[in-house]
Amino acid sequence: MKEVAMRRILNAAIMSCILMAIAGFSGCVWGDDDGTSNPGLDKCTTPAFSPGAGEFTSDQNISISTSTQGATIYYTTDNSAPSTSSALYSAPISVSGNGANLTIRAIAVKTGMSDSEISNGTFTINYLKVASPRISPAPVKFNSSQTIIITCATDGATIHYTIDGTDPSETTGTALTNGTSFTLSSTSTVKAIALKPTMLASDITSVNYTFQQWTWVSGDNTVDQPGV
Amino acid sequence: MDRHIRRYVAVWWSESFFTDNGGDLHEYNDLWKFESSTGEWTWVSGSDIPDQSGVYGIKGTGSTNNNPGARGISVSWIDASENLWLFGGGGHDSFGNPLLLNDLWKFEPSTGEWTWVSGDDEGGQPGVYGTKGIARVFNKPGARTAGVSWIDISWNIWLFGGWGYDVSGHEAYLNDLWKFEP
Repeated sequence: MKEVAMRRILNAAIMSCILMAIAGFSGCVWGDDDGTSNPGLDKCTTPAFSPGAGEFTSDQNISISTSTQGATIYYTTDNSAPSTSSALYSAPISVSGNGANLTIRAIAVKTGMSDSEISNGTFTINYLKVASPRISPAPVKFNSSQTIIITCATDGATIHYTIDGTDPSETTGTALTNGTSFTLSSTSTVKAIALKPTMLASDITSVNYTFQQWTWVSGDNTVDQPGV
Repeated sequence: MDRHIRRYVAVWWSESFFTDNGGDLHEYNDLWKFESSTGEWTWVSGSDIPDQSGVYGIKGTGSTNNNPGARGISVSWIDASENLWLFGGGGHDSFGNPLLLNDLWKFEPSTGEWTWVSGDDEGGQPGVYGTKGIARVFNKPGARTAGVSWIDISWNIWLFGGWGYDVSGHEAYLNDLWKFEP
């Protein structure tokens, strides 16, 4: 008798679940971590990121897609679970700037289908450093004006240089096209930095050039001047 | 001593004594060393024939083939490495012309090489003054004789006046002060 009673209770429970599932009740058995799945329905394909999550050396535009035809994608960037109240995905999401770190969580939703699993992707941007400039010729003692050439192995880099001993930067110094030159005619410290958008500035290269040079210190540059 | 020879320039190097010739009717470019310990003179470089033209070679490159032209009333000094330096005077340029000079020379006793360091290989050149107080590799004093010179604690060379050419090539007494960073 006891076994029969137990079987009846179990059958009643299963039946009630089936009925509730048909009626759209979702809190019975299959809940996902956000409780948005519909039991017994096909599930949307989990959204995929392109490029895939990871660390990058340049700014990225992250596309999100699902293979479920007609599905809508919602996403968050604040680490919260996405839902239909979250941002609607309509265009690639930009991750830019050195040190940027963005976690995207996305879900695919389609009427008549169960919500997809949540995809999580963390995207980190760490720019590469521009190669240090090379200043030539080698510094020996010169007795004539010298053509100073500054080159950088990083394609597309521009050079900023100074000859007064100060450090060049993005906003200071004289701009020079990579591989071009200028003339130096007196003892100077040449400092150069290489710059390129979306890359970290190079280390500063410094070369001391010494010239055997005359300086007119005082007196006149014309003859027969009286004493003062 | 030959009555035509006057000794104008004498510099100390170590314990030896170098001397360069100047001439009244003739000029020489022989370089001598005097060993004070032995009392002996050594003919180091240059010619025993008077009025020799300068053999300049390549500016900045030392060679035992190089030789300043015969000259007199130059200025000279010794640097920290005990090299001998010589500037200008009245003498013979690379073309053999007897003119005032503004060539700067260095002699390295260890190698026996003369190096034409600065100035011109042609006599009678005006000064290139540039901007007062601003060093430039193309600045140079005009050709001159009878200037005076000093060495400072940093081994810079100082040169004052003499008889020579100004910025416009006029020849007379000068009162310009120059510094050379060797």
